[in-house]
Amino acid sequence: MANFLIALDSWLPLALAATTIAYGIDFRRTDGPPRALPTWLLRITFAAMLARFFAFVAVYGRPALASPTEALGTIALAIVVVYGILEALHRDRSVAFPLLSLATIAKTAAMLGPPPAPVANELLTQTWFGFHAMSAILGYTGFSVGAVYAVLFLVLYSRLKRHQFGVFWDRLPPLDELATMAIRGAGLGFVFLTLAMVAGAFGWSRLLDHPVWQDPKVVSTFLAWLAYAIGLGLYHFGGWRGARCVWITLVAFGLMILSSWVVPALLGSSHGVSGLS
Amino acid sequence: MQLSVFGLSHRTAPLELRERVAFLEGDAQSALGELVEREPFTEAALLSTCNRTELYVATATPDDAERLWWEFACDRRQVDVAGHTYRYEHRDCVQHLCRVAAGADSMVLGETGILGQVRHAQEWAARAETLGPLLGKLFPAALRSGKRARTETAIGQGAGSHARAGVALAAKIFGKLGHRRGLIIGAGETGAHTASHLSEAGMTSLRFANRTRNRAEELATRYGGEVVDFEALEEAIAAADVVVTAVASPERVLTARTIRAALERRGRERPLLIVDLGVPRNVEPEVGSFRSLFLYSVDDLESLIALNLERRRKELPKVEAIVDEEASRYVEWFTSLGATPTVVALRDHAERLRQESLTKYRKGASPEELERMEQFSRALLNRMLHDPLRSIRSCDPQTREGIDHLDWTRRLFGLGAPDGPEDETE
Repeated sequence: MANFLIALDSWLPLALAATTIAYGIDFRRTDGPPRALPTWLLRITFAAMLARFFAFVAVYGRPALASPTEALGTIALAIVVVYGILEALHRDRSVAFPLLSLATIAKTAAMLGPPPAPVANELLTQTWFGFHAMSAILGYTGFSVGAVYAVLFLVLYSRLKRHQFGVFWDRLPPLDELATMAIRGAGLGFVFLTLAMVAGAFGWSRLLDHPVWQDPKVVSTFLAWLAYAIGLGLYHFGGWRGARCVWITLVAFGLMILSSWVVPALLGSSHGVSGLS
Repeated sequence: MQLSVFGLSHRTAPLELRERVAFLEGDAQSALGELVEREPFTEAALLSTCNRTELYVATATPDDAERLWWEFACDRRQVDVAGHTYRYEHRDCVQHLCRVAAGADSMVLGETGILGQVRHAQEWAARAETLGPLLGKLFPAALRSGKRARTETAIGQGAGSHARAGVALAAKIFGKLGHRRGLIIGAGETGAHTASHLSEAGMTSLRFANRTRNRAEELATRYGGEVVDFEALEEAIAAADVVVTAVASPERVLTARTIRAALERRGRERPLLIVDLGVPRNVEPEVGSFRSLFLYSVDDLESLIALNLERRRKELPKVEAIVDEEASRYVEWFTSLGATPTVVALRDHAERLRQESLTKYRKGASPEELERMEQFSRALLNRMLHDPLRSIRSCDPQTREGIDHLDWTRRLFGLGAPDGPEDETE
């Protein structure tokens, strides 16, 4: 199993790079419908990354989250999962190249890092924590991908308002579809973050003696989650469409960034109890 | 016998002249019938659109044929076409029709309608029984050229007209138009044209408003839509996703107040596209600043059309290569129709079969046996080919019957190029 893991670690950055290039070439083409090759490469790469994830858990008894470079490899998997779901739902490939490029860079950086230690942190071996951390990474990836689509929506919206035709007119999917994908990306992030929050609440009571609502990062994350809940609720149940809906998801994404980076830095947090923030 | 085309088009004649020389379907069929009864025409087909009128003929005397055609057309329509016509012969004629079908000679480069018009010309000639072996192969070759140009290059991509550009915009904003609602204000030619394109793009819910209700009802019947009273526009706009205005009116048809009231009824920032095809404009321009509303006038659409046409122009070398290839295939087939090439092709074909058969039975045979097999096979071949070759030599490729005869002989013995024009069916 360890040898299998080493072999996969050597080949996965190459497979991701090949997939990214295939998507890039397809994006530049102007004739005919999209080709099937990039999607097949993505499926194969995704299967190999998933196999690598489970092989890692089998060998080390924990998910690959013990160090920043290990976490980068897991983030690469999360990007592939979220992008793959959105492509399957919408058949749109307009953001494949930038997203998969990020995944390739993350995976390559992960490969160049130090080899994994057998047991880096006792907490990592606990099931609830693995579930919490993986869900959170998938959630943040979903929000990020949704935010990319939201920005593309605003770019195309402004071009269409100003009667400008060019590369965005040519390459981007319809405005309505971009809005839907921004919402779907946010929706995926919301589902995963909800799971992460439930698992986190379960673990919090076991590890820490002060209440969860006294932690600034947790409270700010909850507020961002609430902003997403309101935006998604207005879209799904209030019939909201268009730019206003997209703006709400972007504001929520901004809150999420604040809660992840700014709030812990300024106000401190017990959330870094695992050694990872 | 040779192929010629005599015509005038947007490149050589003004619209007033083109309009007067144009033929409608019934006219074209009777004209073709009359022309072929006259001496110089063996085969004839008439391609008539708003941008061109062209007579394609197979004739042994092209000068006489051209003179008679223009006399015929000018007498009928009381026009003088001198200085506005062109004539192409042989390969140039073939190449011209292939270019026309590919949209490379159209006023709007790459427009798709011409392909259907070339098909109509073929059908009219077939109905008038003026389509013979030469034109009968020429039109499928041209249609193939047109189809290939549109599938193998991007010459037909992007909107080339205002109505199509409006539909392209709707698709860019809303994606699939199947479940979207359209409102067309003005039931004239432009309105009908846009309705047709929206319907082609899959929009099933169309409403029509017109000051004269009858015209709106006609369109509603044609496209399965419904009629809206001109006084109830505010409500109709509130319910629509795409609004197209094409009204010939010096006053604004849609004011900012009407649109604002309609948007308030819609609520929740549902996007609305308004395509103003009226000249002068039908919609107050300040409407364009309203949130979630996209307003496009004829001038705004022009830049999209110009961009598309520039891209189409870049595809021209690829289209010309396809045209050249199809024209070459046709000319190769046409050249093979002479009696001597057919005799040579048949002899070569028979000799090849003889050699293949000998090779098969040569193994284990003595030199004497080989010699006798050689003599026997040659004698048999000569006797078998004697009558067919005599028959071929008697064919006159200057007559329709002669061309038919030679063509069938080549088909019977499998002498045509495997990918020749005779193998394509339309």
